[in-house]
Amino acid sequence: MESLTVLKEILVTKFDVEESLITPDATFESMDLDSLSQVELGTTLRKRLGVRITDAELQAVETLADIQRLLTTEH
Amino acid sequence: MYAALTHITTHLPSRVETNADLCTRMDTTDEWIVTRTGIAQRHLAAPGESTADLAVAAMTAFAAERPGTRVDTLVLATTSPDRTCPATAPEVAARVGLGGIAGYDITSACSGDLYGLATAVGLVDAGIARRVALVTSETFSYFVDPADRTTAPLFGDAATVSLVERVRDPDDANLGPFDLGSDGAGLGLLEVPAGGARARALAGRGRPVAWESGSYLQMAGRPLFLEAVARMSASCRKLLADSGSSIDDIDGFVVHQANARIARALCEELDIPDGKALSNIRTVGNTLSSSIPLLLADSAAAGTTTPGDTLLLTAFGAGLSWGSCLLTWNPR
Repeated sequence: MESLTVLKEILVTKFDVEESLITPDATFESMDLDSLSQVELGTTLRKRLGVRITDAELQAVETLADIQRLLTTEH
Repeated sequence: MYAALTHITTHLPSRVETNADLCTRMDTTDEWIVTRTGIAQRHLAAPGESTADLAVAAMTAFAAERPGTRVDTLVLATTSPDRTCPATAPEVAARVGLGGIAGYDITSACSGDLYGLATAVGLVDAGIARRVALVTSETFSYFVDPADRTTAPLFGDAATVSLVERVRDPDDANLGPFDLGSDGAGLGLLEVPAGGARARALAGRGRPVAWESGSYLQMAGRPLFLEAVARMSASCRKLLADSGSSIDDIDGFVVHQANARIARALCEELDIPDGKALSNIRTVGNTLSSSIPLLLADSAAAGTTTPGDTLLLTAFGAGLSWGSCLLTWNPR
């Protein structure tokens, strides 16, 4: 499954984010997610996609497009 | 000589603080707290009630449940002792008519029960003690800023007594192996700065300490979350490898009830299926060293845990400290 599709699925099923809110320029704040959600998302992405994103990288993330970029670059 | 955990008694103070109660004094909502922590309510010590008082209540309940049991050592695990000096355990022992027995405190925060169990097993195995009352007692609600919405909703007060006693048959020994760890490099992630020698040293000998500046818990939530999941998962993996077991051999996962999200992330990390992880955080919050025995007793009372179950216990807390052990649930 494409990484963006997995990211969307995780946000909807695990974090209860409304699908309409999941856009490239969406931020954690606009999706009503707190900072610990970033940490949880990092764990889930590692388990599901085998992608290791460091906490420093996650803290630098502003939008979902940033996460998508992290998923497509080598880790 | 062999040691077994044979009985757990719990005591929750009767006063309950709901999330709705918290909303009257801070900018928060029930949904905000439940979503972010999994906690809906917590029990709080009554006005004037201290850690020793809860411990005495738990020991009194224990004596009623196990009449005639002659305890020869009382180990008290607490993060909220009544005084810096002396330890709280001797007072508790004296007040329940056990004055004269060995009694001391251990301070390993939320890992206190696991460190206490390891200590109790060691005392019994070495022939130093025959019956150890491992008491956990916490009134940590006094140590959190009541106006801080990130920490005040988390903690509840509770006391428990776990009886660890000598058994003849090695097959009856039901605790172990253990894996314990600590890393003081992370002490600043979760600390109450005032109250000890460090604050006095900073103030200088003979000078008053500004207790109010550090008398409440300070918590760095995000790095703490990462450390909790990393340390407990590594500890559980090591324990399972050392004992030649796998997650499939575990009937119940008893994780310290700090935050439902940490427990979920840990289960995800360890591939623990839904339903194996026990939880009672919704009704009691984080009760620090009392968390694991309270969860064991609650799940046994609910029938979720039954005699013969193999349980994986794990905890993480301030220190940093962490630990894991296996327990075959076999109360008497």
